[in-house]
Amino acid sequence: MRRIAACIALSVLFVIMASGCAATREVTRVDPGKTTDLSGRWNDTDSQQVAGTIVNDCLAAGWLPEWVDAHPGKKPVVIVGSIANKSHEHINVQTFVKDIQSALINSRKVKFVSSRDERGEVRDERRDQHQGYTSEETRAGVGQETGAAFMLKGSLNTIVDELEGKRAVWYQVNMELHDLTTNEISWIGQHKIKKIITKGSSRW
Amino acid sequence: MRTTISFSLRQAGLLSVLLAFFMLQACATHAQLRGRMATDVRCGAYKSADKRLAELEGQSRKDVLMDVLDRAMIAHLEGRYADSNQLLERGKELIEKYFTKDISDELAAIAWNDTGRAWQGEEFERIMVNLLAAFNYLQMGDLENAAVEARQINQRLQVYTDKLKKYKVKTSYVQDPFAQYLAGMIQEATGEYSDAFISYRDAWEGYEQTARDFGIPAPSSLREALVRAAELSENTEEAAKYHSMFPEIKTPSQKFLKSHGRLVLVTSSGGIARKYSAKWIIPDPELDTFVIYYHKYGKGTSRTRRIEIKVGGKTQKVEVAHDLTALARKSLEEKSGQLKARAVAKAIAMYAAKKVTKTVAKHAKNEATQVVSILANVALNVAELALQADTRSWMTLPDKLGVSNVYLKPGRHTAVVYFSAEGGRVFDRQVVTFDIRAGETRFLVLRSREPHPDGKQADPAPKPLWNIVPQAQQPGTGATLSLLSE
Repeated sequence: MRRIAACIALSVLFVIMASGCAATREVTRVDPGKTTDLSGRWNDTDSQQVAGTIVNDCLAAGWLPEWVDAHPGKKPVVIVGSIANKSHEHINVQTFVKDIQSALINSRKVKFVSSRDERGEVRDERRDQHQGYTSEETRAGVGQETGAAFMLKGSLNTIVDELEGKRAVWYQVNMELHDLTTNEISWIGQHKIKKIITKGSSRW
Repeated sequence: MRTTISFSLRQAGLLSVLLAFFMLQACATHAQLRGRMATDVRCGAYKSADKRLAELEGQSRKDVLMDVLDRAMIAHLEGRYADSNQLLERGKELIEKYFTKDISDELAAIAWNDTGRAWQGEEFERIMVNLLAAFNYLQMGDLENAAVEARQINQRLQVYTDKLKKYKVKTSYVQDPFAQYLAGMIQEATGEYSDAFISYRDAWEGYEQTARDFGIPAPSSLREALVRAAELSENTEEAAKYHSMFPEIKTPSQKFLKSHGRLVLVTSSGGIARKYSAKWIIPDPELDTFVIYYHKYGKGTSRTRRIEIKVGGKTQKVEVAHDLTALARKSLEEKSGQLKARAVAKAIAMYAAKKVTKTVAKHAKNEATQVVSILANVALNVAELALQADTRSWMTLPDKLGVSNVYLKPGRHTAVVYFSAEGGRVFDRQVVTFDIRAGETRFLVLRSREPHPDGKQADPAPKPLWNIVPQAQQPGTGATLSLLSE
């Protein structure tokens, strides 16, 4: 009888210990497209969603057919400029810029050139190709860069309203398409996201 | 073999004193170590502070936020600004988490001691989390992220004042004028003139109150900033209003602002006052005691009496813009009614419980009851001594913050900042060489390194990182070529 009791006690102890170990960390793989709102802050879903919507709006606007009519058989060349973070959160704007770039490239309606920072690295590589180590046939030509006709730039703003554990965050992304030749603003667009974050007042 | 344990009330008393002595000894060692760590920070012995903090970390899960914030302060002073900000973000998460009250902690705090509750910091300490993060970004030359901290400061203060209005609570800490002044300067430097004007205006209103409550008036540079930001944001009505309010202020012309750079020096000095647990003892005729414990703040520890900056051929005094010790004392004073009521209630409950156990022990008919009553009395005596007030605070904060603005011609300059003690003796001198461009604003954040009571040598003052990014790669944020600090 005592042995059985000891076995039961040991088993219970083992189960408790094992469950304790299992609870320390759990990793679950999820679909990258799945929305994961944990803290309520700006996240990958917001970045992709806003980039997709903004680029669709931009490319559906009147400036594109007008430009194509004026330049038959060509696609306008666009560059993404600065996107200022004027929000209440430390947002990695570069991720958002990349999402916009990828939406623009995938649209196939415009051509896209490297940004100012990327150009430096590309130029270094081209310069290196002309040091005499690279065969003439495979060298990239100098003075043949494509110049952008438009620059897409903007800002990310937030309005926060908060009272006692309830917070409403309003994200507004404003984007403008500047004609680099004339300085005209060819298109203005914005996208808004509103989130309500509620914090519990107590827990055990 | 059976052993009979026999206690007298006298022996029980002796035992309780011994137990309490060992318990308090452990608490005192913990508090003393944190105090020594704060002294090291005040005196620039950052490596020593780092080691002492490593001994404290992880000792209590209720002090995690305090450990994180102290570690962030040390990282800031060692010039590890990115590390410091990572820790401050962790601190912000903990503050968010503590908004949701842990009921078991709250019960422990009500029944026993406030240290049973995780330390969450006072409101001004929570604002200091954002300020320190802003200092880190400014030292890294990252104005955009410093501006994010400025917005968080405004937001946090807005939520706080809304809460005060809702519950009709009157307190001196309604606005944090220094935080808003700094927020305004950051916003102005990033071209957000309207927001800068609003921050300056809130700062001015806040300083009207701090002048009354703490004797800290607005720094003279804020008057100029108010008029300047109103003009830059083309708010002619407000510009005229503040021009007439400060007729002595001559704002620089747009041409002058565009052709000169501006250096904003933010200094911190000394160490904030420390809390201690005071007690009020009333003995009764039976020599039992009725003890009430309450918090008190000591004096801020600072040898710094004067700070001056010498740059561009001018010597300028750094004005005191924030007195954290005065603020901490006032905050506690305003809460003291509520805290004392709780302390009295606990003392009454404890006194009554001691009387009951003593009476039961005296009149117990069998030995077992007597032993249990005596042990209960011992436990209560020990518990009473553990009923000390919660003295936890962010001890590595400075005593005072100061600010100075200097317009400079574009080019290379060397700024020397002198920290002097009573009688004008300079105990710390920090030198920074930097380049400034026309129209740009540069921020320099320095903390005094006061003489160490143990004679320890101060570690080198941290170097700002503006000079790391070459000018060509960081347009608009300005750059420096070399930066030295002694």
